[in-house]
Amino acid sequence: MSCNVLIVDDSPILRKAIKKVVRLAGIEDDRIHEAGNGRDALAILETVWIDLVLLDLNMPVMDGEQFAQELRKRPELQGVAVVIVSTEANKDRLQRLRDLGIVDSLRKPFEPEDLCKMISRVLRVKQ
Amino acid sequence: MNMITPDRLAELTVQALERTAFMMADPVPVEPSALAAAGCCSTIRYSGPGSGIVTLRTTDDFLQALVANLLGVEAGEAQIESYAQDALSELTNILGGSVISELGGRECVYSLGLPQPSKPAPADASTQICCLESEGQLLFVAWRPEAVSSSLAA
Repeated sequence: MSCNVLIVDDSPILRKAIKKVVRLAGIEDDRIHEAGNGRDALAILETVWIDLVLLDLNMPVMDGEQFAQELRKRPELQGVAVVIVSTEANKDRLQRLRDLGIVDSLRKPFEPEDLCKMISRVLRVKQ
Repeated sequence: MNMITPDRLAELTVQALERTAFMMADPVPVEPSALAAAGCCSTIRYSGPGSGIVTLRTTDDFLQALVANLLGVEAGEAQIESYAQDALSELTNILGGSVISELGGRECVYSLGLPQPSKPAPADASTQICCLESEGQLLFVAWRPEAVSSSLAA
């Protein structure tokens, strides 16, 4: 699938685990990008077109909610789909994120098949 | 306040290990001597209508197996050691999320902090502890709700 995916999570090992699932969804290795926090993710978005961001929320430096707020301020990045992949359960915070245009969310611990299906569904809609 | 029993804590841990690392685990009795020997420790705090701490304690060998499963490599490979603390932190984060979801349900208004490496803390009477065994290695999970302050309780 010729789409670019950005995994944003402060855990390097979880990024690797998620990357395996993204590969299973048909995304080639050189189209999968990684960032350890929201600030680094924004830096990648300034240089590479990203179709889908898989976003953790609780991260140091810039958390996922701050990242989503920054993303929505940038007109050139309005086409980027964002899916939350996090332990977040706070309904108020999840509503704020939906208001920011988050496409969907998946709570950890997730079934790899569920993430794979979600990636395929979101990217299919975009294409 | 909702309570989480050791049995429920064990169920949440089994689910986290299965889904995240494809590791099968079974609850076993908590042996104090085994708990004392589990020197790798990580905690996460939550706050909201109540606050509390979730603590994971385990051994280097369990962490090796956890990392190997997360990465899909053989236990004993060189890269495993460098990911051990990260793997423990992430499992702590996931279990912290499971605990607040259990406490708050669909209307959850709890917030989770970031996992921190820590030294094992003494348990008090309110602490719920479970122990899981996976391939001969033990993982201890403790949930300690913190007392509501007197001003809030009044």
